Amino acid sequence: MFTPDELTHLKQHVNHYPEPRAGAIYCLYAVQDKVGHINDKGIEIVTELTGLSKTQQEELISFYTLLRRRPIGRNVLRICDSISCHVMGSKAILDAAIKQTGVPIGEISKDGSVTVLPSICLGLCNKAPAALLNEMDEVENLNVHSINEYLNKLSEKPHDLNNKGSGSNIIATSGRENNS
Amino acid sequence: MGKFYIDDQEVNFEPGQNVLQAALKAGINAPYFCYHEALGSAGACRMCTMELEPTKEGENSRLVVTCLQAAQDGQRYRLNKGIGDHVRQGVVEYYMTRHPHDCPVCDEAGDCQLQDMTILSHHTYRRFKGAKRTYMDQPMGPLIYNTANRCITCYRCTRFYQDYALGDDFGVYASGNRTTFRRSEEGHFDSPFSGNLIDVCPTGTFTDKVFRRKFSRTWQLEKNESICGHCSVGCHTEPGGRDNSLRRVHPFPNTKVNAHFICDRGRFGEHFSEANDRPLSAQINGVVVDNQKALDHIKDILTKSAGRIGILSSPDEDVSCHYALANIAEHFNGLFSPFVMPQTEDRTAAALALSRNTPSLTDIETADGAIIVGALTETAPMMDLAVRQLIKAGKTVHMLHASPTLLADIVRKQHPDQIHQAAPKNWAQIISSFDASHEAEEMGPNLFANLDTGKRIIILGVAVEMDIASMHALHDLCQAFENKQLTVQLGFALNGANATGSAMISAQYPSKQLLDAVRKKEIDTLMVCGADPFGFGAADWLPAREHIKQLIVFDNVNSPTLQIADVILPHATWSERRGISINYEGRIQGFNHAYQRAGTLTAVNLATALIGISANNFYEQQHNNIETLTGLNELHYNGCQCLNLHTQFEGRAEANQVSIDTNKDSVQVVRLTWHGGSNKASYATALASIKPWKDNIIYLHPDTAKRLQLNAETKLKLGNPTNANDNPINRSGMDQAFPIILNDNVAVDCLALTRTTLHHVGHLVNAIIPIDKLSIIAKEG
Ligand code: SF4
Ligand code: SF4
Ligand code: FES
Ligand code: FES
Repeated sequence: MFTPDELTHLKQHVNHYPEPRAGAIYCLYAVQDKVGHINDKGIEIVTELTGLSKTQQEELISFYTLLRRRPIGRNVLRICDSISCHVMGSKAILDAAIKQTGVPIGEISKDGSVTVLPSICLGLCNKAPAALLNEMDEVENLNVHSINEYLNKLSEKPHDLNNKGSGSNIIATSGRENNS
Repeated sequence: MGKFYIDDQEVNFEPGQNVLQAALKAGINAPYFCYHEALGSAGACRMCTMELEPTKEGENSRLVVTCLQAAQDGQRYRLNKGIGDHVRQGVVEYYMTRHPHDCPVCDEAGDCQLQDMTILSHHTYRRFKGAKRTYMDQPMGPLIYNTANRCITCYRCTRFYQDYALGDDFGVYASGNRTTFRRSEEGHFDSPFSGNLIDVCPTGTFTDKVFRRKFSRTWQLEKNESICGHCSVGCHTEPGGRDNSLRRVHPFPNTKVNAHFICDRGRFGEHFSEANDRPLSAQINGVVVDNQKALDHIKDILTKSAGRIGILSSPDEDVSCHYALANIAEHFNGLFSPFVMPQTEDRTAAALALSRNTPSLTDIETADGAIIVGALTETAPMMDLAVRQLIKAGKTVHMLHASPTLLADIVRKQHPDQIHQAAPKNWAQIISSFDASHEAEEMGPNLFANLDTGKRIIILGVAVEMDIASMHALHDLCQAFENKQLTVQLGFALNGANATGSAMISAQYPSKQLLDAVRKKEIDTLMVCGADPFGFGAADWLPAREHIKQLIVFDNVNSPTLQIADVILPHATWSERRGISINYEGRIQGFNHAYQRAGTLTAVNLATALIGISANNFYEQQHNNIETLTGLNELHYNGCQCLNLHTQFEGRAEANQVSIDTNKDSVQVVRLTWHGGSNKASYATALASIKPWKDNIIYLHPDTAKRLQLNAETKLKLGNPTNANDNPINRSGMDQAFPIILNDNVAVDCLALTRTTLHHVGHLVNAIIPIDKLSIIAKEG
């Protein structure tokens, strides 16, 4: 999965911290950037890098919403369900998204274009209900009609493997593996 | 030391204590969930909130989480008087919005801190109308049952499992309202201390699955403080029984030995008493008879064979049992021994004689460094838990071992350079190279070079795996460290819960004398109690079998020896009887039955029936005997007195020095064991079902396999074993060839065998086999 240089870089990063859990988060992001999500193979590699067991890594992954253990669609859309957006009707937006994608929250839409997730406050309360695409693009002032349109547009967009987006957390790895 | 007040009641505290801790010590019924004496404070539950009165004019009173608040002189808290009560009521109401209302069918009910706190905080009616958060329960193996919805997220379980016991296969998942505590996969826990989750969890999220199958409401159990009979640590336990059966075992915290916890062997291993095949009635030649008839029959046998009688007990039995049997033997002019194997007796006595200022569990936890020799986890689990506290505190722990052990896995993870793997025959030499007085690199690692003078080191050895030469090497090592102005405490994990008491008695009743008499055909009637001379790991006795004409077995497990007995008597277990056990420190600990098991007998019952000594007279005589033998006046049995091991066992470390075999062309047999694998615990069905090793397989290091040219296509035959006198031993597995499994954690040049495999091949633990005696066979097919 990683080149020797990448592994050295990750190891250095881990050694940086007195607590291996701190360094593990970066390594897990690196796996996620490569594979699209954190797979079993990735967990094995991070165990070697940090000494953390599978359970200890799953603790981190399940705690941090930006780490994901399961594959996602070509895009991730995080629809905020915190207080401001809730007041402005985010429940209806999520319901509309479920209907449109044909799958429950967290699953990949039938055409593979998107995974819709709920999110905590995105700091876009003034534009509520809001969402964030691929940790990068703000989607604002949603309503049931505009979410449907937005999702339609996503299904038409082709898959761009090399666009990691500014949402990528890792500086030193060489882009996503082609098999994701 | 200072003073503060709770509802006007004075509370004394020591520096460093928090308010909750001091209040609990002072006996105040202060509410809390997440605080735990051993695990400390977490501030996770807010249940310990109290109101702090203002100290100055113009200040307001404020709410304080008392487990995180350092106690300060003069402070005044309101517990039941202020608004704290209202807050705590809210806290419990909040937890109860998620908690199922299943108290009537919950195993925890009656022993449940959540129930107690709910009552204490006066929460009664549920106002929350929303849905309850729910989880799938996770199957967690045969020992622990999970009901995930009952969790109140106090984090005690993971703080115990990961932070205290250094386990890594269980933890906390997700966050907020979805937080849940589980393993990444279904199945049993890896840790030998997992059962403590049952006690540390203040709710019924983790309950005892063995108890569940024979459940009784906790208030209907007959309980008593007892001593665990499954290893030489002698933890204090509280077995609970009902209707002639054991239902569960809890720790009975005792600051001198186990301050809070017990291991899974102690908790689940004691259920050997419930094995389906436990002998619970007397038998003569396979016919069930009542106890009195069997006793009459035995009296008859012993009277007729007087002078040709041997009685064999085991270090798994207690001092009273030994004394009663010794009395019977003497009455009929026979011989007695508390040890089966002279080799075990010698090693036990030598280990005790060479112990120095034996460390208690607390001493181990608070030391500045440690050296561990042998599979400690698998021999004395709670000693291992104490060593884990050192590792957690970042102290240096060196480990020398030959067979796989969980403690080495933990040390290796952080400090692979502190693991020393070698065959036991080389241990003496390696230990000498740990000598702290040398400076030269090539002489071996200079351990603890960076420790300041005055620091304290613990050395722990596993007696049954060591030859006496390597025990001496450890003893000499103490001197070397002391010369460097370090304090050293040396102790040994022994084989058998009452190994120390047995060694004390064996000075008068040596096992060699009994064994020789059998070999010389001077004894033909043998009574066996708790021992298994014709079964597991007693190679010396096997050839003597043919000399025994009458075999009486008095036991509580269906051992191979019991299966060939002429007369069987059912023995009570430690939880079912009164006795005295002496632990590895020399601590004298009495215990009394927790519940009654109808139909079983004790050795004292036997003495009464066979030689007419009354129980009262017996105990009085025993008391005087022990006082004379130990030189202790005003002997107590509450665990506060220790034998002086040095004087008690003086001169017993020289006997039968095992010569060290430095022959390069040999391999050494080592025991492959696990934390549930002790003599009696092996009969506990639920625990035994998670045994990690296979029988009739040879585990070895890949390098050893290469050297012997073994692979997946070949099997290994070990050749004829010989006993201490070089007599050949005939065993069923002698001609059998065994497949191999590679394991990096077996030392090079060692063959690791389970006790069943050892029994089949007839080799002794640590037997050295010349390579030319081994034969390699191709796998057929
Ligand atoms: S499972 Fe028990 S110990 Fe663990 S957090 Fe929940 S209530 Fe606390
Ligand atoms: S450490 Fe030994 S004495 Fe203590 S509970 Fe475990 S088996 Fe029993
Ligand atoms: S609440 Fe939705 S962005 Fe802040
Ligand atoms: S006991 Fe103080 S917060 Fe839980």
